[in-house]
Amino acid sequence: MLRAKTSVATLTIVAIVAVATVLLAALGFINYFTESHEQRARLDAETASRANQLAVGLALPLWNFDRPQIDRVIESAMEAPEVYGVIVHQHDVSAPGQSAIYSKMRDGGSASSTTGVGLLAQERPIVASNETLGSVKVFVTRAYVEERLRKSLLWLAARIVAVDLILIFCLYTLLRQMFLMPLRSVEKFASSVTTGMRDPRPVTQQHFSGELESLRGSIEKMIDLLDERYAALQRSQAMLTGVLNSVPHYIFWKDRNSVYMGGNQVFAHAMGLKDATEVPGKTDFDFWAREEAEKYRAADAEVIRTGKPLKRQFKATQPSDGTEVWLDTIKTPLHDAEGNVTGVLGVYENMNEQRRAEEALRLNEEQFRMLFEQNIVGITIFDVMCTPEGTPVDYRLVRANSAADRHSGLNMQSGIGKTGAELPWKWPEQLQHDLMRLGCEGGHLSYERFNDSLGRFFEVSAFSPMPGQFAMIFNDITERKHAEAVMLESEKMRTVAGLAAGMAHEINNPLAGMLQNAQVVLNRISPDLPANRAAAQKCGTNLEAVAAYMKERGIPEMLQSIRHSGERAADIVANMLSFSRKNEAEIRPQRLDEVLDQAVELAQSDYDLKKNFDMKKIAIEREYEPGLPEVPCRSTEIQQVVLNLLKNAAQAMSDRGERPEPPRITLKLGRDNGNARIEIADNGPGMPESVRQKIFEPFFTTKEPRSGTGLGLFVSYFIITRNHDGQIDVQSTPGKGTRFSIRLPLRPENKNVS
Amino acid sequence: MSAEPRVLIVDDDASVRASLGAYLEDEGMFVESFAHARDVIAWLGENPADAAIVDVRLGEIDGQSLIVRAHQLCPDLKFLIYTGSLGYQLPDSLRSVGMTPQDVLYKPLRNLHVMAEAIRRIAGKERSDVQQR
Repeated sequence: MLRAKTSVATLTIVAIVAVATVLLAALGFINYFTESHEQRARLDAETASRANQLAVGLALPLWNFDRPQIDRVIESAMEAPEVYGVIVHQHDVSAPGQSAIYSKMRDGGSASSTTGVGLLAQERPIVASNETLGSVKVFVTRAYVEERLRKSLLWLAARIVAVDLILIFCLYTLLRQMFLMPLRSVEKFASSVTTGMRDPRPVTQQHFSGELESLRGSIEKMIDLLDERYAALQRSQAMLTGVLNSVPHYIFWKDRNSVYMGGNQVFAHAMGLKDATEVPGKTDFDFWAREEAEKYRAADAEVIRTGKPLKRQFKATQPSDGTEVWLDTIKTPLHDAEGNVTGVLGVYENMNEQRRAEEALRLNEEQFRMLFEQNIVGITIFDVMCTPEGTPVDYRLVRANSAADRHSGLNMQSGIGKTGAELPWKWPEQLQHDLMRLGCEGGHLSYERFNDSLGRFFEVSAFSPMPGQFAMIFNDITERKHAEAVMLESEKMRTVAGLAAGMAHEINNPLAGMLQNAQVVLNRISPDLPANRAAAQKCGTNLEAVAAYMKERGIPEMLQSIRHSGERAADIVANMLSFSRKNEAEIRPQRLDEVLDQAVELAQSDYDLKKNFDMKKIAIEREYEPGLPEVPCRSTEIQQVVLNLLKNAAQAMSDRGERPEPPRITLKLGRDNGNARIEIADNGPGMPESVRQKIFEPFFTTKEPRSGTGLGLFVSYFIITRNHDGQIDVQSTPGKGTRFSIRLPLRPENKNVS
Repeated sequence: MSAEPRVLIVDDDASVRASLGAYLEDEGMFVESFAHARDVIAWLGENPADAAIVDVRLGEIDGQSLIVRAHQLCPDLKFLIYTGSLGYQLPDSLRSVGMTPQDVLYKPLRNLHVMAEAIRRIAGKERSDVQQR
C-alpha cells in the first residue's frame, strides 16, 4: 500500500525536508547577502585605507621622485591579492596638466581596462607640505570577494543537502520505527480480520509508544469487538439460514415487482433449482405456467397494496417434478424501517400428507361410524355421572345405533341425552348398579336376557370404552336359542333312538325265547303231533286226559295269553324302531298334495280312529300353494307321519269337553327356504310348554292309558329328520291350538337313507 | 320227506336255542345247537349239515364271520340269520355266499312255522338240485 501510492510517510518527509531546505536556504541567503554587503563595505574601507596609506606612503617618494621607491610602494600595495592595480598620477609643476603616471596592473592590464565591471577604484590626492603632488588610484577587484562568497554559497548548498539527507534518514528511520511498522502490523492484523484468516495473536508483541500504543489497544479492542460481532453475525446468519433450510415450509421473498430476492433450499428445490442462491432475480414466469404465475403475481400485488397477509389453499403443479400438490400458503408484506412495504414474504406448505391424513382419518371415521351404525348388533353408549367422591349416581344415553332400535323395539335416538329416570326402560336394580360401576371402574359384563315384552332373547355384552362410560352390545339371539333348542332336541332324540335300538335287541331275544317256548308248549299238547301221544302213553296216560286237564285248568288260554303279551311287546318294539326298518321303497319325487289327501282319506276310514271320534265331524281345511314342485320322499312314510299327526289332532280335540268353536284341522302346503313345508294345525286345547318339550319322546303320552302306544310322534320325528333330512317341530298355545310344521328339502341330499 | 334236513342252531340265548331246537325236532328235523361259533367250526370239521340258523350277536366270533368261515368249510351248507336287531341288513360279505334278504328273520317270530318253512326252502332247493342231478 505504501508503495502503491504516495505514502503519508513520504509526504511527511518531503514536506519536512522541503520546509527545512527553504528555511536553510533563506537563512543562507540572508547570511550571504549580509556577508556580501559586509565584504564589499570592508573592501571599500580597506581600499580607502589602502588608498590613504598609498597617498601617505607615496608622498615622500613622489616628492623626491624616487621612482624605485614608488615602485616598491606600489609593489607592496600589490601584494594584497585584492588589489588589482595602482595608478599614480604626479602632477607636473612645470607642466600643468601633465602628469607622470606610474601604474601597475595585475595581469598586464592597462588602466583603461579597469573600467570593467568588478573593479573598485579609490583615488587619493598625494599631499606633501600642503602641496598636492599627485594622486593615487587604487583598483581593487571584487573577484576575490565574490569568489569567497560563491564558495560560501556552495557550502550553504552542501550543508542544506547534508541536512536534508540527515533529516530524511532520521525521519524515515523514526517514522519507520515509530509509525510505519506498527501501522503495518495493525494493518496486517486488520486485513487478516477482513480476510477471515485472523492470527489469533494480537498485533505484535512489541510495545508501541505513546498514542500508537493506545491506538493499537483501541484497534485491537475494536477488532476484537468487530470480530466478536462478526462471529455473532455469522452465527446468527448461519442460524437464520439453518432455520430457513430446516423448516419443512417453502419460504421465499420478493421485491415490490414480484422479483424473487431469495428463498430457502426447500423452495429452490421445489422450483427445480439446485440451490437457493439461484433464486434471486427469478420471477414467477421462470417457474410456473403463465396463468399460474399471473395469479401469484396478482396475489403479491394485493398484499403490497393492502399491506395485509393473504392466506390461500390451492392445488398447483410443482415445477421440479410436475406432481400435483396441495399448498397451504400465506403471503405477508415485508416492511422497511419506515414501515413502507418493500416486498412480499411467502410461506407455504405441502398439504398432501395432511390431506391424505385427513382423508385417511375421514375414511377411518367413516368406517368406524358405519361399523357402529350398520352393525347388526345393537350398540348403545352411556355416560355415567358420579358424585365428587366417585360414586355413580345416574347415567345418560349418548349414542345408539339403528340396530339398537331394531332389536329393542324402542326409539333410542329420541332417548339420546336423557338420563336413567327419563329413559323409557328400566333395568333391574342390580344390573343398573353393575353397569354404572363398570363405567367407573372398567371391566366386562356378559349376560343373556329374555325381554318379556318382545318375547325375544338377547345376548348382552357390556364394557367400558373409556372412563366414565359404559357401552352395551346386544344381539337378538332368539333364533340361535331356538336353533340350540332344536339341536338339543335332536341330540336328545338321537340318544333316545340309540337307546331304543339297543334295548330292542336285548328285549327281542327274551321275547323270542318266551314266544317260541309258548308255541312249543302249545305244539306239544296238541293231538296232531304223533310224538305227543307216544309221550303220553309212556307216561301212563293219554293225550285226551292231559288235554282235558289242561282245558280244565285254563292252561291253553294262559299260554295263548303269554303269546299275545309277547306279540304285543314285540309289536311295541317293532313300532318304536319302525323308522329304522328296512324299507324297500325308493325315495322318489312325490306330489305332496296327493300324499296329504291320501293320508286324510286313510284317517277318515281308520277304524281305530272311528272308535273314539268321527273324523268326518272335523272340518279339514286345505291351503295348498299352487305349483309346488314334487318333493323327493317315501310317500308311505310321509303318509304315516301325516296320519299320525291327524290322529293326534283328532284325539286332542276329542279330549276337549266344551268346544267354543267347531273342531277344525288346517292343512297347509307351501315353500319355505328351499324346503317344502307341511303344516297341520288344529284348534284344539293346545298344550303347555312342559308337554310340548317332551312331545316327541317315546312312550310320552297324555292320552288315556292304553289308548295309544306313545310312539307315533317319536317314529314320525325320525321318519322326517333321519329318513328325509327334514325338520319337524311343534308350536302350541294352550287354549288355542297346536301346529306341527314339517319341512322337507326340495332337493334330495346325496345321502342314502335306509 | 325221506330225508329231513340236518339243522345247526347257533345262538347264545339258551331259551331261544332250546325252544327253537325243540320246535324243529318236533317238525322232524335233525338239530344240533351251539352257543359259541368256535364249537360250530369244530363240529363242521367232522359232521355234515344242511342248514344253519345263526344269530348275529354272538360271543367272540360274530354270526357273520361264522357264516363266512363255515361257507369255506362246507360250501353246500345253507344259512339263515335270526337276529333281534330290527335294523339289521344283509351285508355284502353274506350276499356273496349266496344269501338273500329273505334269509334274514327277525326275533321274535310270532310263529316258528315261518322258520321251518325257510329251512325247508333253502335245504330243499339244495335237495331238489341234487335230485335233478
